[in-house]
Amino acid sequence: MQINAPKLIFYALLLLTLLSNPFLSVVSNLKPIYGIPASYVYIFVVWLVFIVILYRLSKRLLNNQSRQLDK
Amino acid sequence: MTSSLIIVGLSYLGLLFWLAYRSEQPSSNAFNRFLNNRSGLLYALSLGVYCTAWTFYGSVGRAAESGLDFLAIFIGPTIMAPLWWILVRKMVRITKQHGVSTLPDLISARYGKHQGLGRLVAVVLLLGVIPYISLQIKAISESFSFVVKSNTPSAWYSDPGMYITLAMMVFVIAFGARYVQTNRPKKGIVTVVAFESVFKLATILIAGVYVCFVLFPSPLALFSEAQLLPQFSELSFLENGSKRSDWFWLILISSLAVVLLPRQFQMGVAENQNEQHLKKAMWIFPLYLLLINVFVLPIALAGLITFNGDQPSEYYLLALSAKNGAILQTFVFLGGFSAATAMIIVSALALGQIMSNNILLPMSINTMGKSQLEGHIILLRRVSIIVVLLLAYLYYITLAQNESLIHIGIISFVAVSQLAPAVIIGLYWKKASLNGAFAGILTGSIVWFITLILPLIIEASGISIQWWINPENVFALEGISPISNSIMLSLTANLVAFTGFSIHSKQDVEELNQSELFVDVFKYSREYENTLYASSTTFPNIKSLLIKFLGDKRTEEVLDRYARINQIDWKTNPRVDSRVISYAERLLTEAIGPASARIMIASVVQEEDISINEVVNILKESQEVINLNKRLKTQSQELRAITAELQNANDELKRVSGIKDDFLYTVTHELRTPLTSIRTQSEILLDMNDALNENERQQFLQTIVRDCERLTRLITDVLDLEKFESGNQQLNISSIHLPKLIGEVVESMENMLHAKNITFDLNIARNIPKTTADRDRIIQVITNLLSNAIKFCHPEKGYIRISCYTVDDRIKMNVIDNGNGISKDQVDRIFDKFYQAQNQLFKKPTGTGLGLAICKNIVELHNGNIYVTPEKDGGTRFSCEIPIIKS
Repeated sequence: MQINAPKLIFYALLLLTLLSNPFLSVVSNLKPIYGIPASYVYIFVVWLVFIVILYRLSKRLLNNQSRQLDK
Repeated sequence: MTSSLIIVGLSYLGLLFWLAYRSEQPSSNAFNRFLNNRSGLLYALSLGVYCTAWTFYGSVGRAAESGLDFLAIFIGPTIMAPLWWILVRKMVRITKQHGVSTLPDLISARYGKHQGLGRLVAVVLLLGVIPYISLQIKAISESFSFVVKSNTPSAWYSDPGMYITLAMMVFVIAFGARYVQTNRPKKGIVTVVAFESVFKLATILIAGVYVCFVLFPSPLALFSEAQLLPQFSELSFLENGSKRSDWFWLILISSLAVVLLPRQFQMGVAENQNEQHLKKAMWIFPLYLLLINVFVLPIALAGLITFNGDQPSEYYLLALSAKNGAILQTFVFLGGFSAATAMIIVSALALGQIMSNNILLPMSINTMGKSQLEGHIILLRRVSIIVVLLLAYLYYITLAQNESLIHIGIISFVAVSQLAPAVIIGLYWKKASLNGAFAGILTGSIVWFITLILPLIIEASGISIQWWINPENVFALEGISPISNSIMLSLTANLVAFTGFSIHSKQDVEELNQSELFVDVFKYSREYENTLYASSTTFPNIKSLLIKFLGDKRTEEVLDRYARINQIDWKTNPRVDSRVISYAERLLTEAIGPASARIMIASVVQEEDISINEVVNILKESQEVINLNKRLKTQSQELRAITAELQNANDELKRVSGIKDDFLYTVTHELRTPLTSIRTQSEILLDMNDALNENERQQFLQTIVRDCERLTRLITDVLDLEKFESGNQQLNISSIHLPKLIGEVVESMENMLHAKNITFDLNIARNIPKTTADRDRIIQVITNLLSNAIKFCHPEKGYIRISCYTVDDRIKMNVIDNGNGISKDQVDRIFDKFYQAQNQLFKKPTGTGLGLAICKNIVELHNGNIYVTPEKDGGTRFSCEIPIIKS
């Protein structure tokens, strides 16, 4: 998979969307999971998944792709 | 407790000094090699300076008061992380290429190296960040008092905040203001900040584990107990409209602050020594933020359960750790201490540089004598660091006492986000102008001051005012908190002013040049840098100017290097061109910032007047050179591709020529065998006619006829094949019924099947439709496949099966035998011309070796498909598919 600027912007906007309303409002109204607020679990899970995505993105940002982004 | 805590604190400070000192030593020792091998990791960890005492203590306080919305401050930077590769890398490239190392220098350089703009940005940053430094001093002082269980000290000499301020002054001056160049790597400070990042993370994780697994049986037990708290439902996330709007706006300003805060710019941009390190930081820094926050809510809930309001919520972590004893509490205190000191060190360093380059130096530069100024500049920078820390301390003892940690932090974030349009948009929009940047930053900052700072001053002074003139209420929208209201108003006003003034104002020559170089920084290498000025001066002028600011040694060093690389002899060529002047300007920028450097260069250079049109022409020429280089590169690549294609074509021609030679050889060989036989038999008949009896003559004649037939067959096949391959073969299309044709062929070859005692099985599906094809050619294919099967099936227990059925819109025919089967290599080549003939080394071929090649051509001419597959239990399956075309 080639990484380019629009793809990086897409991932940033995806996280913003997932951690904004209406997703957060919906999750906030869910019942606690084993007593832990659902929103707390949701935010940290999404956050962790996003870090994994960032890790994979960083590995794919090869030197030649850096040059493509420079154009 | 007090004395032991002081000893621990002093020991920790001693450790920081030792660490910084060791890191600055030459890289030959093992410790430095260890650090050098982990420079990417150190860089990523040094970004953890983002997490200050606000994170350490303030987040717990905010979580205890309003639930999860403290996370917005950390989610913003995570959202920004993928964009670092686009935005921060561009900033890093610009700072390295133009020799700038602070945000005001970058903004000033972008907008035509304007001194006034740099000064405005410096003032905004000083106003915005000094309270933030004071917050760290406050956190250290309060946490110290909390641990030693004393009230906040009243006497100035008993306040730990003052001593910390002094210690930090010494540290920053010792390791951050030793050299005149601001962009010189500060390894000592980077190592210390990275160490403190690890230390504070370890502290909060250990304390979190203690709270969740020792103080309470498990995190689940903690949460179930927390559900009994009356405020638990209030702490559930985003309950009301105000919280919801705060969440979004806090994410926005924190995503901007993570790049624009002076300490973040210092660590993330100025101290970046390799752009590739950004890739590591892209995921390590968000992971760091997640880990440092994962226990914040449990700690806040544990504090509420345990103390029920008896302790200040910001210090729940210290209070809870005290339940384990003094060791854990001291450890936690040091965690908060490290978070605060890291921030103070980097912020004081960055603000010191900002203040000296943009405020003090421009004020004093013209009054300084002609002597060497290197020492004066370093002194000025040290004075700036002292002034910054003293102002922060002053703010702490006057205004900060009444404010919570979180509130002061957000005020700073809003202030620095006023620079976002000028920086971020300015790096991508060439039309962004000096007037636009001025208007945007000024408007946004005024709104920020009125809505956030003024209420603070009014509250601290105790003046009672009517609600309608209270700045906090001005333009306030219902359902939106004062913080969100201020962010929204200030950024909107900023953006409108910035874009409006940019669109309606003209850029001057310098601005035009800088916007081109900044926006297209990846296009311009150093050789094109600043070649815009039509100016010249003499080498002694430039040299004496550089000596004045950089000193003799460094000036000799850099000029020698430049002369060596560019093969210039200063003695024979004393007049220097604009390129050397640009180089000198960049060196000065590293020491005194772009605006002052521009003024200094102008004092020794005779610049020719240059019009906008000339600037545009020069830029066009530069652009053309770049484009020409690009075109040359593209053409070179195309040439390489064409050469490769020609090589492939040549290889193909050689292969085809080889095939043709093989073909001719095989054909002549095939012709010679029967011809030799005919000639031999004919000579015998001619020479020995009388000696032969009738039977022998008949036998010879029959052999001659058989060989003639073989010759005829071979020639017919060769001609047939040639017609197919040249495309001259015409098909005589008519309606055919394939099962009927199969029946006819089988009937005609029945004798051969009987002669070889072959078991034959015919399996034709019902309702196979008619199709259109060349009847004779299809019969030729069936005959060929069946005769091959007869030839190659088992010699004693021969078995052949023909099946025919429809698959989708095609009729498929299989001819299966139980012969020796077929290898992978044969599968690939069996339809080649003369394949059989070439591979029957010991046994003379019974056919011409062209039958399958002709069959393939016939089937393909009918848009069909023919292929061979080995059977699982030996034997071979030839399959032929032709499309159903209704007549």
